[in-house]
Amino acid sequence: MSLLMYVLKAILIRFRRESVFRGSFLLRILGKASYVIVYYIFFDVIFGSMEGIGGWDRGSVFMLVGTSGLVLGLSQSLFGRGAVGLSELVRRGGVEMFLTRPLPAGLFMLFREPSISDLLSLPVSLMVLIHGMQMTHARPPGSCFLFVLLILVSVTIYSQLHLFLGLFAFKFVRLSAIFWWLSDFSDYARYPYRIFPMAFRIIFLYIIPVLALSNVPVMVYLGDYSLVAPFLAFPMFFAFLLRFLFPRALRWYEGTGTYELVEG
Amino acid sequence: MYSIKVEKLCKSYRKEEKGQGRFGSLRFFFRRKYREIHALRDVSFSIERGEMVGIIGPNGAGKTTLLKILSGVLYPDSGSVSVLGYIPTRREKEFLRSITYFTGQRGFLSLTIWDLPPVDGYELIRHIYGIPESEYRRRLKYLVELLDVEDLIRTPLRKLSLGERTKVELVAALLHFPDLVLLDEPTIGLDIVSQKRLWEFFRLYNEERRATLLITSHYTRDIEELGKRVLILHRGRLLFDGDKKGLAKGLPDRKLVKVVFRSSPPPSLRGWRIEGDTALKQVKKSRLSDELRLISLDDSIIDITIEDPPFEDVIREIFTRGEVNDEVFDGSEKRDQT
Amino acid sequence: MTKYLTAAKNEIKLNFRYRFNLLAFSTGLLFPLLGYVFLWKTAYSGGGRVGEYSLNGLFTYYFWALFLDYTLPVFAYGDMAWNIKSGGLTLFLVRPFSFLFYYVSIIAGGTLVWATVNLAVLVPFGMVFARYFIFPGLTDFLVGFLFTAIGYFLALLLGFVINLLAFYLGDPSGFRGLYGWGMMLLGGSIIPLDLLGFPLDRLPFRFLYFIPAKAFMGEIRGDILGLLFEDVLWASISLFLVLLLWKRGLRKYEAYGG
Repeated sequence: MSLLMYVLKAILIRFRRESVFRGSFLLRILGKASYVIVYYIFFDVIFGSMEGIGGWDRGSVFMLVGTSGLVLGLSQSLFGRGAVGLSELVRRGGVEMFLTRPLPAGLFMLFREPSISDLLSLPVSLMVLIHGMQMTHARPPGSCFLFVLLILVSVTIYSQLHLFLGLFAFKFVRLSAIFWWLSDFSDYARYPYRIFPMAFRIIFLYIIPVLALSNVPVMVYLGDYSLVAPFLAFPMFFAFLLRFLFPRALRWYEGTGTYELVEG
Repeated sequence: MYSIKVEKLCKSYRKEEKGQGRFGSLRFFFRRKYREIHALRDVSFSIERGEMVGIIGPNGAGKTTLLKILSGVLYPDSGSVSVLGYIPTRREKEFLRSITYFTGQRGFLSLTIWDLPPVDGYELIRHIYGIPESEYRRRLKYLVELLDVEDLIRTPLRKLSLGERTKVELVAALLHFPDLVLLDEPTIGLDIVSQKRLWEFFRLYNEERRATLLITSHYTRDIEELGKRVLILHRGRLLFDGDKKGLAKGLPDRKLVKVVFRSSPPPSLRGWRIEGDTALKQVKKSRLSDELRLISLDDSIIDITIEDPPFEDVIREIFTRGEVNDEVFDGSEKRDQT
Repeated sequence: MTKYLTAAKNEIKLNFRYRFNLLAFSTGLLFPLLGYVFLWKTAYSGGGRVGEYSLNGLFTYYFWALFLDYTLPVFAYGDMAWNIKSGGLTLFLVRPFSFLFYYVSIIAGGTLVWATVNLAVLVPFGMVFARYFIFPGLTDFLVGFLFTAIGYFLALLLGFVINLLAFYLGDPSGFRGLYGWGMMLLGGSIIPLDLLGFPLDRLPFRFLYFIPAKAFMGEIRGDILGLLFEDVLWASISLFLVLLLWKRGLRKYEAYGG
């Protein structure tokens, strides 16, 4: 409960910080929304000449773009800055500030800097998603509720992935590139999983499940439940793994002389 | 010969004011209010070459703004500034080669080589100021020995403590042997031992290089460690410019009475500040004889001394009142303000 | 001059300080490239075709475009704006050391490292997938190299313009996001511009990705000199803007912090 209150308070404080420069704040919202708009245009160009990609039609691919926009955008809103800044926090010696508070330190560090501009850019993803839904004409009963639930599971998995990678920052210190990796992998989320060869499917559906983040909710909405079971097992597995690894990773931490605030 | 000459210097800022209450942030987003802050108002003074001058004032007094104007970073709104014969804002190369601006809050090395050892940063500094290789080695040896940082300069900067970092940053700031050293809160966050060592270093640098040093601090103890001359800034105004001893006259109607007693403080010292076997009290001059008569009757008192109030108390009183008594500016204490 | 070379050298050292980061970064561009390869391969397997592009043409285009995407100094380091906003610029102004040239040097140092490590990964990748790749002839390579070099300079200057807005906006980072995505779309990093279906000939962004990639593919033979002139003109306009923003901005600089 205290973590929830902390996240809410962090959102409020962040709104104050981000909105100090109004023009920049509004432009940032537009910038965040551009990600979805750009890939909407990208697939629109492809579907101008093609009927489908790997058995996915225009509507379902737009749903993928909208869903990946929602999952990644929501994740970015809640912990994007915090996750990417983890290695910088280790590098600059700021971890102590979180380890000495009565909250779970890993989550505390992860959720420390929510992004309001990402949150406010989500309606664009939602519009693309709805546009895709309308094109597919699919209306399975109860699918909307399940869809929302699976999006939340996707966000949970994504946060756990970040935290898992963040642990390596304690050893390798400057590890921002590994988050770029994850960000590059995450871009796969807007592609139908069927375009990938089998080895990639295994890696990105079952080991680093970035493909599943968007594909599974859309497939369920379209009536395909084949990937739901392994998808739901992930959060539990990662929760166990993180609980085991976090205290061990802390032993690698060297710290620095004093904490110096540097914006990431 | 003047190192610095400042006349009727003014500088103000516009500051946004955030709304109060639950919807303050939202109101702030849509409609902004601004407040004019006068960082410096009609400040005039001059400093001669080789002087070591302390600038004190509470937070927001205008100390840093003054130093940044002197170093050419900020443009004044009005008034004139001459530093080493240059107009700072023109930022001529020769001017920049002759000065250094050092702040204890952040350093050039932290900005440029955070993950590398300081020697890599020193090499950069050497080229910035065009210091010949042999001369660079000599200066580096001199500064490194003086500040006792030989073991630190090959360790990545990020692994050094704040005190260690301040010292290696100071080496970087002085490698070009500047004639004018502007130090903005150089000892901030340091422990007493490190502070003392830095003050000794500044004094030595001032003596050996005949450099002009201008040091800001809001620790009055720092100023006690410095040379004779002090500038006091308060809310952008120069309240005092002169010998720090003259400041004691800022509280002319008071004396500090120190009484040493035998075992426990006698009843006549009730209400006095007790420090070990000594009781202290600031007493008005007019009441001094009454007070002394009262305590001198007590058998347990060993010794009584009467002094001017400590420097720190004088400064605190000045900041509280926001002015200096006229007596301060009498005779030799008053410096040329035009 | 040696001071800026030393700064560049320090930046190279900094990049090599964290070897794992460098290794991770160097392989980073393979993932989007593979994504495009699989996507287009699947799309073309249905028998369709996008514009005038063969499958090999698209692979080659994305090869060059992604190499540029990963090595162009697009934002000229965000900490340039951060230093202006937070007062770090002060420590440069009090030295006979140009803030702008300092960033040119460290970006040159960084770009050299990134370009080298990315090439070290891309070349073997290109050799493995050689049958999908259209190799440039010597002339095409030289023309492509020339456009890439000017493109780097243009990207650097445009990045400076964005960062120098910190003097006026306080925080230009919001503008950066919009600029980044806009530039990738309008520059041709996401999709070749000739497929977009709307004219973008009047903007400088095509000189960042589209024109250099097309030059390496040997597809801009007709009007090379005209394009070079336009490229240099955009770089000159950007340089003028940088100098103007810098000169005027300094007067507005508030030097926050210690």
